[in-house]
Amino acid sequence: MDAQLKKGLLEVCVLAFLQRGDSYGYEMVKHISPLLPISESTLYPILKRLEASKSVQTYTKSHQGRTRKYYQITAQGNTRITEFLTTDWPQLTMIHRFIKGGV
Amino acid sequence: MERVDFIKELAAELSYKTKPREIHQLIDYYDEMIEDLIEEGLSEAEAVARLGKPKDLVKALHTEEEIVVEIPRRFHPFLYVLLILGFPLWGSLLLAAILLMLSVLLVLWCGPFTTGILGITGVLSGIASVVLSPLLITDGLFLLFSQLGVGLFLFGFGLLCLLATYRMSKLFSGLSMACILWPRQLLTNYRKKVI
Amino acid sequence: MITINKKFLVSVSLAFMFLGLIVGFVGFAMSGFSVQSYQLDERHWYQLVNFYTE
Repeated sequence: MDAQLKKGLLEVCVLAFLQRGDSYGYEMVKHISPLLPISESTLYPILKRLEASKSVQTYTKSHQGRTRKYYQITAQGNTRITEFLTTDWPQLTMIHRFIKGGV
Repeated sequence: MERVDFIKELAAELSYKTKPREIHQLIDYYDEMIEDLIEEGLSEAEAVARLGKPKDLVKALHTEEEIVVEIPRRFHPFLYVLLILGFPLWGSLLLAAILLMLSVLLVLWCGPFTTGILGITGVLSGIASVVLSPLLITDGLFLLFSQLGVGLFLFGFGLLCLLATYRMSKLFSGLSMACILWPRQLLTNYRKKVI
Repeated sequence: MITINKKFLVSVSLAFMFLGLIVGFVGFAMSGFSVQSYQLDERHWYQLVNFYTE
């Protein structure tokens, strides 16, 4: 898939995954990769952007003697997902029809 | 590659290109990632190999950063004429505004300056009092205790003042920098836009 | 670094001040609460604490 297209979708995917429960870096990579291939390095800027837009917040929890950074979705994040489903997705289907119509 | 070497190389690649706090965050992220991968069963070498070479990582991260584009501003020539003609008016107003801003900054910085001086004198006189107090043992124990006590108090007070100075100067330097640099963007012929 | 150190330093300096007050008060008490006793004839160079009433 085109890198730019993937980048935009990955943000919502991460948010949707976090909606199911708080998670940490590697877990997100593991669970999202089957759906949309993502590497550890690709995830990092996405998480940073989400944190900057206040769509997620973080906390640390200790695990086997070390600390892990957990990400949690915020109300803003939930809004973003709803936005995607109600606004972006219908637009995408329209674009899909447009592209198909040319064939 | 070993994990320590990976982290070291990553830090080295970033050292002058990114803010220290961001470097710290990045290192924490990759450190945690490596540990999770090891927990999943990979060896240290395999985990590091999976992440890729630090140089490539840093390159990829830099392309992720937002690009700031400079758009030339269109300046009508008539505006230039007006600007020149009206200089006596806006020139003096501008001067007054600048001087006002500078005096506000000056008054502001009196705060940390005061606490700074209080801090240094407090700490130094405190140490001096405490150190010299044993010499008073012949003149009277009460003198020794009094001097010791005052010394300790001064030292603590000085420390507090220095702390206050540090916090205040951090706060004010950000403000002062913003005040001084803010007009720069207005004056340039370009405007910056983020992609 | 800043958060841990700051709170720690504040409490340390307050502890110093508190301790200093107590010790100083003890010293003043030992002198019999007399301001006069601090005004010795021979003022040594290392006597930094004085009550100035002159």
